[in-house]
Amino acid sequence: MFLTPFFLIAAGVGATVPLVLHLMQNRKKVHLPFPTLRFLKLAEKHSSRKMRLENFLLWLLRTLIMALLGMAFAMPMIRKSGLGWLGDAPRDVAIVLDASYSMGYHTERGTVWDKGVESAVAIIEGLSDKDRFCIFLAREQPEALVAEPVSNKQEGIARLRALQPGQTTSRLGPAITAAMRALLKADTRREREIHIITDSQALPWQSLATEKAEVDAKTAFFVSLLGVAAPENAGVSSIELQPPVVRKGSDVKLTAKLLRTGTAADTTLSLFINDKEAGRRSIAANDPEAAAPSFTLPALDVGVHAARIQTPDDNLPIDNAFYFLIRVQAQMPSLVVGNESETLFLRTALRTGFGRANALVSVTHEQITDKPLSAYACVILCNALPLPGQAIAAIESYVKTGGVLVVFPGMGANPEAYQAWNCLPGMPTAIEDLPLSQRNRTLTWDQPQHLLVRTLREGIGIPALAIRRRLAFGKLHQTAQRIVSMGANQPFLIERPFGDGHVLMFAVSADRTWSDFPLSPFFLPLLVQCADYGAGVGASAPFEWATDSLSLTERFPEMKGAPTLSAPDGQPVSVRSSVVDGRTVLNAENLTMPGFYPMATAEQPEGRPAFAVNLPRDESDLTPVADKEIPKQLGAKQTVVATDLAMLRELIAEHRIGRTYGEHLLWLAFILTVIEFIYANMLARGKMGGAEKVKVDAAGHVETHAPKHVEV
Amino acid sequence: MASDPQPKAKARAKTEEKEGISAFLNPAEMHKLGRLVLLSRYTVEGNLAGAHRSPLRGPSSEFADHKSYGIGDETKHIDWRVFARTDKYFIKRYEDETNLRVYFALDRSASMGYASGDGPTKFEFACHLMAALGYVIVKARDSVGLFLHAEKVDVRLDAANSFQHLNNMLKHVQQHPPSEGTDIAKTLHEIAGTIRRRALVIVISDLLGDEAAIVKALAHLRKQRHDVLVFQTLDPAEIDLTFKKPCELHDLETGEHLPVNPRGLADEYRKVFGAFLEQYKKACAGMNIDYRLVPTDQPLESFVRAYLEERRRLSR
Repeated sequence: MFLTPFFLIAAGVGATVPLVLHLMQNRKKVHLPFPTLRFLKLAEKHSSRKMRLENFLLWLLRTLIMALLGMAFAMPMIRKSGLGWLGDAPRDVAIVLDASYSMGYHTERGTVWDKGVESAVAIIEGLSDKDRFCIFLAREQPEALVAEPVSNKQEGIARLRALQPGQTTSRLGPAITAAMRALLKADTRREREIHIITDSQALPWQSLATEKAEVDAKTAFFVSLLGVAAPENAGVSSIELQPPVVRKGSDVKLTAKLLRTGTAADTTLSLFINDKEAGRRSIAANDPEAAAPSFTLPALDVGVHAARIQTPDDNLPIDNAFYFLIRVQAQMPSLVVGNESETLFLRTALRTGFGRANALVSVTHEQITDKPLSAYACVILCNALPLPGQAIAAIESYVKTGGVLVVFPGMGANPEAYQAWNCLPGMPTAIEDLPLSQRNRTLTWDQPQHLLVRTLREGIGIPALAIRRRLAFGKLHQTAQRIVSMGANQPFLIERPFGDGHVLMFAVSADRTWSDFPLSPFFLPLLVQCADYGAGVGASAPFEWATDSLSLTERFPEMKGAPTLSAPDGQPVSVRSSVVDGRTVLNAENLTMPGFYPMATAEQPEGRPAFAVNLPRDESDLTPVADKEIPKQLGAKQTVVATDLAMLRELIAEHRIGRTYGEHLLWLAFILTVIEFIYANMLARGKMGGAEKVKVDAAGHVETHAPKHVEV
Repeated sequence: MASDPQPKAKARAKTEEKEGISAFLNPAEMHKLGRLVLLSRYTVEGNLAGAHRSPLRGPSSEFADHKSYGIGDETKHIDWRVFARTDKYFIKRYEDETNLRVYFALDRSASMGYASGDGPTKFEFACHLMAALGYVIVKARDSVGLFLHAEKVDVRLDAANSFQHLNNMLKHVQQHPPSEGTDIAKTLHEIAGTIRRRALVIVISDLLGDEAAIVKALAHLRKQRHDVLVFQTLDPAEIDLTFKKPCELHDLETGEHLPVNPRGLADEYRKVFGAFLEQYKKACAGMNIDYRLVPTDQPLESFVRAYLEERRRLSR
């Protein structure tokens, strides 16, 4: 297509000008006498091919220049892809709109989401009556707003305008694949375009690295990156409570993980507990610990406390608050099972370690079934075996639901007595009396980072024990691990997770009959750690990530009856009931709104916060994507990237109608003119390295010799 | 671009008005040339006593050798000092000194009538050169002769030692402008056969013929023990092909026409023509022939002066 095709005639005429001039030049040739033509003929014979080539090149250059000038003024319109006549062909257009919460980023002119919707509307409005469109939303899973190509623009635009930005992350790969399939399914003879509208965030593109989108080579891709070039955002991505279970009166440390995008700047974190500010941290931009600031929780009453960490208002407000629950429990005692003499050191250690007399309850093994085990932080068996089957079942059930069992052996039970247990980390094979020469043992930490021993090593030095007798173990259970050893392949303390709880087993007894372990400096702290460890194992998570479904039965096993769950905005949350393996299982659905979800039961009709839900914080990382990487990531040849609506319109026009290359042709003609000028001058002046002129001195001596290889 | 080498009316008219030596040399030029001398590098045989070495023994002051005394020898030539030493009679002999006989072999082929631009034709330049050298020769009391040739020897004048003779020679030259054909080799052979005694033969030509044959003819001259001098007179345009625009050239001798684009051809032409000149240069050097290229744009007087000075130095 040409804007001014009249100039094509000029191009044609212009192209013949050099030839005409050449012919006219030949006609006007001057006739001159010359002494002899012999040498001219020889020279012509030698250089005729070269001359013909030079003349041809000159003619070609001049013809090209004239033709290009004519064509440049004719203003050719060329489409980047496809043929020119396809500019009017009907097309199917798919719009993939990023619906992640990062699209809620505020810019000078509204949010990115608003700009995205406007772009999508503009794309639809720019379609002709023959064109069709479909709309897909890129979320965690793609969602079809208009699943199949339709022509009804008004309805599509209305649906778009009714949309709100999502509160999840997004993956572009599956959404592009869904759009591609919809286009290919509709009609493969039409021209196809996929418009991807997103912010400039790199995250949604990362899904393409692991899950390639289905891309058709004939489909044109228009990517609108509507986010700002250098976004800034700060938010808490996660928190951690230490210890995980908060006991009334105990010191609890809260560590927040801070996620920042953009240029480093000072920020402030505020901790709110029950809507009252409980702490504040100012974080300098260059603070090396800025990524994980910590708070010390104030003294809290027993119960569930709604807490949040707030960052200052920024352009992405949705992630400024991080919600969590602090469940403060009353102090729980440990249950020590064994006779008085054998548990003497143990009781003393626990009472001393926790600083209170009610830190433990001591019973004999006959009394164990009388006690409800769930009221204890841990159960410690001191030479308490063998136990009746009913007691074993009760203890194993206790461990399964999150309890901790600590087993100290003794002479009361032979190795066969352990066979009745299913939860032990290793099955004893013998009680071994050690010779005098092997009694002195140095303990080694096999799992130095284990919660039990992580803080134990500091200040104690190398623990050395005199061990007279030990429990020898066979092969440990496959899920068991050795935490402390007293020599090669001789475990001292082993652990096995069982259900939601753990079983710890020592190789020596808790009294002095087997070793001097009760007298060693790390007996007390190790026992205290065991009791604390038991308290932490059953701790529930302080927050949940936004999800479509969450099991209430798992979170609240003691709950009876159907609860009433409310969303942060007060709307009721659907609780679905189903029967699995004969048990009734309750699942809360659509916990996607960040905030606290109060739950009311028959026992507690007033309701209490059951969950603190946060949006996945991956989306808070607004690190921008590199424009140049997008075509590679998409794997589509016809990919253009626009950064605003005006640029998108221009690119669409270029694709559909084409763009004029008149200016390019003018530049090309100019370059060829320069080349022609240089080349023609070079030929006129003789080339470098050409034959030198014959020089003759005053006395007639010829000074310059001609090349010898020329035949005359 | 070189203009059409038509005879320049004024210059030609000036030459044609006068006859003989005055048409080529003015008094000032003659005065300057009068101080120069053309010496032969080899022995020559002349008629008269002169300044040049002769193969014969004669009355001069240059001792040549001794000879045993024989009957008929004059006793006054006996070297008594040798007799005193050897008790034998020896006669002292001296080199004979004779005058120089110089023959000009002047080419008047059609190609010699070429001139580019305002300069003289090659023939005019050759005539000037001959006049200047002739004047120097006659002034030194040596003899000059002429072979004016094209396809054959058209004018032959024996060597004589007089300005009148030189004048006659130049008049003949004026009366015979460049003609159509050329056969330099043949005419040089003819000249070699004609000149009986050792002489200096000056060939003035553009040598645009069969190089091998011409070289053979020059060798013939050398075999006759003549001192040979070759002045190749060429036009600058002919040497470098200095035309700029495409033109159609026609051969002055054959009348052939050839359209050429000198711009594209110049480099290759120079190579070919350079090789052609090189052949003569080498061949002449091999035969001890003094070969000089004389472009017609070269100032004649300075050329003659430079050449004779150099030759005088070499002859000592």
